[in-house]
Amino acid sequence: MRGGGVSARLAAAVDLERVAEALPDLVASLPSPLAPLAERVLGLDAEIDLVARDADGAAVVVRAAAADATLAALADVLAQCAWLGPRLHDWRRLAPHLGLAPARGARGLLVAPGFDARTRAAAAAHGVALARVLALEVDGRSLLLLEPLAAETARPALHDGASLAVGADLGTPPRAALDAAGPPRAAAIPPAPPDTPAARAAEEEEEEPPPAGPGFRSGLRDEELGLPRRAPRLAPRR
Amino acid sequence: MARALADVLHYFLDEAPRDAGPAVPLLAVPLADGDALRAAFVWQLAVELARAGARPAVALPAAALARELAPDPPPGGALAPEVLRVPAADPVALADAALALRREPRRGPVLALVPPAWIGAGAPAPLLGWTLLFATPEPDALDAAATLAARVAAAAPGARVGATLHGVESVAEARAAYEALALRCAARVRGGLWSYGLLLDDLDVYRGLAEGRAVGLARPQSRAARALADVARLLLEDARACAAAA
Repeated sequence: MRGGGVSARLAAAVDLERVAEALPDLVASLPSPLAPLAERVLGLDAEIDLVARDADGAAVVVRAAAADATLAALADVLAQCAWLGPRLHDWRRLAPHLGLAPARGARGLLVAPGFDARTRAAAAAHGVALARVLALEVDGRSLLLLEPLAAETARPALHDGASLAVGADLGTPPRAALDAAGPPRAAAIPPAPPDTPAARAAEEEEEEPPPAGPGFRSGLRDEELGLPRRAPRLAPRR
Repeated sequence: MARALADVLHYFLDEAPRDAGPAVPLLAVPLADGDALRAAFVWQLAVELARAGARPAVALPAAALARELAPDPPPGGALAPEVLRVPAADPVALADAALALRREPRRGPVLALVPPAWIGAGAPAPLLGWTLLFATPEPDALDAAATLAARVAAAAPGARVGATLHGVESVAEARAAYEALALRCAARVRGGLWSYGLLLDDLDVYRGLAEGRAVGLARPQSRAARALADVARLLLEDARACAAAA
């Protein structure tokens, strides 16, 4: 240990289970922070590790993956975005306080210790953000850092509430930087987009279904149900 | 001042243990005693919810719908939803029992059968916060469903009221009937009427009712089973969205 600093080193391996548990804190600490909404959401035939919201109100499907499984995880993120997008109107109606803006759609964020060239290329082509997760051992404590790949100069986010604000010298981060920082997570979470009556009216005019109700929902077609059995009627019986 | 990770960890963690999972929605289904077909729908939907990976339960007043809701032997084996018969025949006891069920770890949606007479006459608002109505396309039936929806909205302001159509002869007829019902509800139900698809009054449903079997298990490829699975999917998606928002 040197002059008020503490020893730090990158861990050889990253515990993915711990990463998955820490995802809400990690994404809330990104340079462009996300507001965590729901963990372990059962999406399309699989669980989504985290659904979050960005500062513009877009939903973000967040998935953590091992370094050797990122390409498959990327496909899953894209599938879950496709599944979640059409449901955002319902989410907004069910929980307006979440601040989701359905018109912004759903986008993806893939978190992994590393990404191969194919995953990077595919993610760039499909607009999925990538963030590298690092495990840092500092003075006996284990910290997780999330580093957005698109912003290499951005400050990594730390999981335990500390902020690696000075220099990011992994050999000797100043103790003060680790000690002084409180748990500022809530302040980092982006506020919901304005929900004034005027903004709401404008958004509803732009994107809401007809006013009679949220709209008829069914994933079925007549052919699947063997319908109609008689001549179809397009209006209720009178 | 130095702070250990443990000192601030509580800031990031939920109050409840992770195993408890998110809050589970409670779905009230107004159902008159003797309404065997719709009682069968409820049972079959609960089985479909279980098939979709949820762990649903059905709570109902002890004397109601004894045979339709608990066929003997219960179908489905491990997929058979738990049925809780509440001894006291009053809405508060039913609400307490249903709300206690939904607090169980990893419990799926809880379906509570509520006698329509209790709505506006003692049924607590939390019991009716998410209510599913069944309706057929006839104008009288739509009027009755709209009246019931209005009573639910009056008893539980802000309740999410939805409807599943049955007795239809095409998807287009179900859509038209839903839209007609939604119009009837527009001024009386805040947020509008939610749609939960359509079910078939199919021979397989009646056969399942007579045999005490779940259509989704006995005849999973049948048309009735497909419709049940679709409605269960819609319910489960909203249940998940509610849980996520809680």
